[in-house]
Amino acid sequence: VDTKAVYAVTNKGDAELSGIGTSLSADALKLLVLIDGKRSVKQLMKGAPTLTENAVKDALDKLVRAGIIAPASDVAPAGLDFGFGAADPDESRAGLESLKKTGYFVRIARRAAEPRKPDPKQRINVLVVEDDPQLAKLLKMYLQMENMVTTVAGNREQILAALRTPPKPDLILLDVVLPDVDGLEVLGRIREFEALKTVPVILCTGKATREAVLDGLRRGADGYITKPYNVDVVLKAAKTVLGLPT
Amino acid sequence: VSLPTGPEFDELRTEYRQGMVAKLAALDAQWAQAVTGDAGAHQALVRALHTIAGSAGTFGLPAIGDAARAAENFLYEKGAKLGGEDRQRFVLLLEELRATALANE
Repeated sequence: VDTKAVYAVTNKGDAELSGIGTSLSADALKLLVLIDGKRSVKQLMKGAPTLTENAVKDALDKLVRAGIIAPASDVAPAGLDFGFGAADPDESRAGLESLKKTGYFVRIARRAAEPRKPDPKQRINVLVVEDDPQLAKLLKMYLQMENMVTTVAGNREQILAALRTPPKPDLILLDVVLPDVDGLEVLGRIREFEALKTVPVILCTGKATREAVLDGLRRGADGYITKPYNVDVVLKAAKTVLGLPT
Repeated sequence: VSLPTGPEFDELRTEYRQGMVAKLAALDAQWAQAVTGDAGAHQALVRALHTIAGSAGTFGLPAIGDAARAAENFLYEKGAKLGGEDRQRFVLLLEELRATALANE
């Protein structure tokens, strides 16, 4: 692998970012989100300081071998190419703009390490963090049809109350833009607590930039779904991260 | 993006459409505050537009979502202190959102 080379996302890679149910490692997923077909991996790494060079090389090798990315010269522009990278004298600024450009719509859900057998007697508890009451109602209705028990929280106080009240959620669907707290901050706190740190979290948000997706994955999200979404997509992602058959 | 079919979901879609009237009134009130330079109102306005942009499509109303996103992106790019032309542009974006939402009524 060559970190000075420019790679692009192939159709297979595009499917990983929008098909729900990826088995890629967290680092490989972060790298996949960063790859834009315009800048070298070395340049892209400036936007992801938490990735070490060795982790990048390892992830790059796996992505290339799996056919998820390929040298940009070999790949026709895919759906996730926004036409950025026109001759810009300041590559790092161009990279930053690419990270902040809206319209990066993804449907990512990492498969659970272990499959879970569906058990009609065992209820799955889902905490839905969503400040739009109608959207929360829709999600609740839909999840209940799948025998999932939902609790809805729309602000900081409700989130704290829900997390402090047993039973512990089996899954958290987490909106990012909330009235009095940042969903990413909530995710960070969840990952710090022993009792909650392994609970799968899917970010469901209108924040559709590479930067936002990367930030969510970096903080330990198991999935990232951009709004507006089809509720079927959320359900499939929920089952994927829980290890249930989809 | 489409809402599942069934009477309970049709009811939710109707509820969402009807709720747009109140949401538009709230946007007007937030804009009236934000235009005076109130940064908190500006943030609340961006957030309210973001919420509509994110949810309308799920309820089968993508044009409303697109109009809200255009207004949200405009405010996000311009920041809290809008000049005269930017204010006019935003008012037009808000009117486009209103027209789209009420056309879907």
